Amino acid sequence: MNAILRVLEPGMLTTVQDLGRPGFSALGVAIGGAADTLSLRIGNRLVGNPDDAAGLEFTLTGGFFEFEQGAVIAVTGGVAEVSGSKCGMIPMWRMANLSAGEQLRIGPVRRGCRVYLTVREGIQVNKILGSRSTHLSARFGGHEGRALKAGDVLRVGVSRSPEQTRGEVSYGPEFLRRRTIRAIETPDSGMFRPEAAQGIWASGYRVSNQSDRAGIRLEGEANSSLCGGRMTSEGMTHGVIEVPENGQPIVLGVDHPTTGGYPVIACVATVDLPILGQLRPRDEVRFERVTVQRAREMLAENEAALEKELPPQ
Amino acid sequence: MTEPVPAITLSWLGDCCLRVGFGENATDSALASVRSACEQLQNARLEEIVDLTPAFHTLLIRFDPRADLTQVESRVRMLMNSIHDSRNRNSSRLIEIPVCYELGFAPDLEVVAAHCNLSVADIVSRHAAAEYCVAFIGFTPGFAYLTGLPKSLHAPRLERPRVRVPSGSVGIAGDQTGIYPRETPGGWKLIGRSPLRMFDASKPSPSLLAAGDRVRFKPVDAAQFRALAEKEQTA
Repeated sequence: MNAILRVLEPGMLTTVQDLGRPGFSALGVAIGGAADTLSLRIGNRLVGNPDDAAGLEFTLTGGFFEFEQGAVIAVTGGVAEVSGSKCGMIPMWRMANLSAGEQLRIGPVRRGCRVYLTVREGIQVNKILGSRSTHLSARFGGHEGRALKAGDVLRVGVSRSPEQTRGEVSYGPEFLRRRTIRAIETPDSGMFRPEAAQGIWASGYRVSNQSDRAGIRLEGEANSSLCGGRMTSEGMTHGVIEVPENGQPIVLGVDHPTTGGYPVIACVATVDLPILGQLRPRDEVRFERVTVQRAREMLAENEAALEKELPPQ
Repeated sequence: MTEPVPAITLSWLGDCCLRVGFGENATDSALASVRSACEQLQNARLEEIVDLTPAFHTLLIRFDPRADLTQVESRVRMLMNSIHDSRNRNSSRLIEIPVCYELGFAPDLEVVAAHCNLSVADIVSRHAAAEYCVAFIGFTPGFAYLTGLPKSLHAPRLERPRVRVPSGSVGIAGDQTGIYPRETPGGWKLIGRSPLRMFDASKPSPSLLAAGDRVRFKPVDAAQFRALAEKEQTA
């Protein structure tokens, strides 16, 4: 059975996202999905959903919604003020019960870049190519293939009570605040002059406001010696750090082009990909070099910690 | 016709993507090896593989990051050693793509003609006479990387990319020609437009073109273009 979620104010860029649609890169479709999968997964676990249920992803701004039949929700991700018209302030990273007709306000994102709203049983849009994620540029998936607008009506799961409340997940927010991002050097880095290749690890960068779900542009010391030029197009992945002619790196985001022709100096460790989804313009970031082995160990450690703190219901 | 398979190299891109390189260059033999490698991997049905991104001379294999990837790497290495040139095994499809080359649909056609020292009519007849091959689909949903643009039609990109290129636009950039699957900014010189939808996520085969297809462009006039575009809309 479904309930209705009415969009009163959508926010700047609010989309339906799940964990993405792997398996279609050979059609030019990147995996996509939530830019910060960790926050979405935690949100889903808090309301008793499977990890891959669809939620709403907010970007820098929040929104204003009405739940006609009441719902079990959680808000995770960056820092925002959240309140219900009947229940008052709602802490983030915690399950909350909204009653029938209750209005939910999510304020501007004060820290980090993206906030996730999860609802018990998920946002019920049709799956396209195996996923409910919105593919903004190709305009499919999610709600009509686009960002939400005022007046949109979404179907969501209905609240069942009594509810089992789940505790706060403290390590989630801490982890996502880190701005030192672990990355693995690529064989391509041999294309760069050695002293230039060292630059990526030694210098700090600022996140440019020319950043979106497709890529995060970084600005740093004019490091033109890093410059690598063009190469034959090949497969890319989320977290790849490309260096175009101007020497200013681009970190590919979840909606990245599936293939690209700029030399790749490093690739962000899977464990740190959720942090990329929380980078906002003017954030200062650094990269720390890790081995493939260490990156996999860190992922396994984080996954084990998540299973322990917040096992799926 | 059998050529040796180009030297295979394996390297990790990040912690869960394995890049398989077939030689250093985008040769026909490398492309055939990429296609054969994709088939081998699909047939092997390794459950750790979540995605494959073929390109000119590389194949990127994405694994579930939680799998035991050391073991998987040796499995893939073994499979890659058994690939062979598959160029003659597949009878590839020939897809005809209608293109309106009239100047209203081809804002850079005259510039390309001047650059190539050919008449507008020559550019159109040469572009439509050639047979192209889809190397792979990539960059954006439904974008086909085509090989086979005649040398006489090579032309550089625009110095200032357009903010808005209409969906279906057919362009030239260097030694490549291609069709924009949707409206985007773009720097290719536009010599025509196709009324066909290159990508439709709601179809069982969302991409009109697939790797290995042969492609020919068929000139249509503005009236035919509109009729075909309308048919696509209602389909």
